Amino acid sequence: MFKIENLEISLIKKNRIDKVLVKNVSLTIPDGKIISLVGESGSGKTLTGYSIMRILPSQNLKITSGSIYFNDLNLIKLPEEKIKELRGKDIFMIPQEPLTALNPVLTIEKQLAEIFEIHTNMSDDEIKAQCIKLLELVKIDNPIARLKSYPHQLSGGQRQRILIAMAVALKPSLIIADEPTTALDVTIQGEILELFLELRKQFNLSILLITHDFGIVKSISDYIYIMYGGKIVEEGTKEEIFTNPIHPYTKGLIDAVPYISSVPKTPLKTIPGYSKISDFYCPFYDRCSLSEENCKEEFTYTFINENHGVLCRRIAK
Amino acid sequence: MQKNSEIVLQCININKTYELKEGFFGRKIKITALKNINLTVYSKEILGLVGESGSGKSTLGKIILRLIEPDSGKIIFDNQDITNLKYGEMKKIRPKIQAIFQDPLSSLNPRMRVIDLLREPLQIHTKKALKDIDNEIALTLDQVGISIDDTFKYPHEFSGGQRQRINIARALLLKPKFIIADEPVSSLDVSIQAQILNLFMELQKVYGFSMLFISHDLRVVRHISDKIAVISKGEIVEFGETQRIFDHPQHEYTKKLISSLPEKHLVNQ
Repeated sequence: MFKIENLEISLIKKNRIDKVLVKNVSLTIPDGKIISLVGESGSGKTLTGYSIMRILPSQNLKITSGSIYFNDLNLIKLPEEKIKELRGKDIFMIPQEPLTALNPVLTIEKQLAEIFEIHTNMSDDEIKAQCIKLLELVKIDNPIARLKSYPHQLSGGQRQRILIAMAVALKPSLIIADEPTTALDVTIQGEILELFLELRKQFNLSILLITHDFGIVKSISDYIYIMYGGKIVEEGTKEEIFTNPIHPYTKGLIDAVPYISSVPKTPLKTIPGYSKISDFYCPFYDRCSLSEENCKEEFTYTFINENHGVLCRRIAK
Repeated sequence: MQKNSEIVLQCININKTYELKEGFFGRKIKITALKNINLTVYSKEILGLVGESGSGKSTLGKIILRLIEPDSGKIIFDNQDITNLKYGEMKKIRPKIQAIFQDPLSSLNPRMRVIDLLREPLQIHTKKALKDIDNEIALTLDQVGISIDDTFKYPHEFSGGQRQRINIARALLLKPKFIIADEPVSSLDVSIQAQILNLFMELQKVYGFSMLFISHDLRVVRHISDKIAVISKGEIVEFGETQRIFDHPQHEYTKKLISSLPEKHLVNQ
């Protein structure tokens, strides 16, 4: 079980907080569940995901408050050597671009074997057997031959499968997948999502899925968090979010995408403006059609039932 | 059936192969990018071209724009064979065929102010005075929802959605008969995608252009297109009215594409 509490990530300039990019984010990832973190570019979803592994993409970004628990361990207080042991073993991150995530000058075998060499005491033969097993697990054809391949010899879908094989190699508790299907073709997307579901079942994995695609969210998540402007604006089970969305942003996002069931050639509902970091308490204040003066001031995050929470002044108690 | 006179663009038997060298002394291998492509676009029609990466959909767009030469085949635009037109003759046609690409930032010269980027096509293709040009720009910008007062800035000072609006305005300025839009919304955020798709549908009513809308996103193509051509490995495997394609797909590949949409595909376990 992973639990993020009141996480704050800031941009630091000259030893001072210049901008707070992620504010007061709390989320829970129970064992064996697929949790989606949905948001547009700049919402802070990727930063939140990276912070669990304590790798932020720039030196100037720092976790300025909050805690991240892995069972009873507070990852934020952990010394660097300890967190290194956890990375790859207990928590694995699949980055967005499957080609750049693999080393172009090493064979697939080298890259897979490395994980076992670092984290286990297996012999070379055992490692090789494990590698073949992994490729079979992620359904790569002809695994023995594929071990000798270099990343550029594989298709995008195959590369993503290799990364997933690496991810499950040491049976981690959590896989963080950042837009795992965005770079892939539609037909391959479906296959990869199916693979996630299968592996979840087999290993009781937790998956944190970072995405902007509501189609994918709808098809595989158990629980959904929606982020906007660095804050969680709504959370809930899939049923709650899709049948009873409350936050104007969530509603806007769901309506903005053409679905296979929508009426062609009709105007799509839009959210006016574009996203930027807001100075007001409600991050959506500038774009919201229902905003009022008191949305600028602090109000409480409210749960309307045990499966559904929202950050909206209209609901706040 | 639509009358012959309404045809805006026709691709007849277009073939294109690329040659790749393998290794250092390399034997050459041929890769077929397009095979016997036949496509007809009528006036005021949006034709969606759907396919996956490497299917040849962008190559076809570039061939129509005459940015790449086909190995064989003909492109008939506005009842004129433009396949072998010389540079000067083609220049006369260019204003009538405009293009909008995926990445709105790289399609705009970063060293030019937006106003100059918008003036350029009118200065090249018309002999109008600057004042008239600016008037026209203001009118077109109004249609895409940008104020001309903002255009004295550089492209990087705009958001992604605004940049794509600028590209659309730039394409519309010459009142084209035909627009090729290659993945025009796929680099934009979801909430911005909807704004741009709505804009295309509105503008198409106002300006009455035909459009080839190239995309990998079936849901987007279904929403905006009158007809759809499905392309796979360089061949058009299915063509027809949008509704028909989605209700009764014939080809195995089309069926696979439709069934792999996340909403159709998986049920949570």
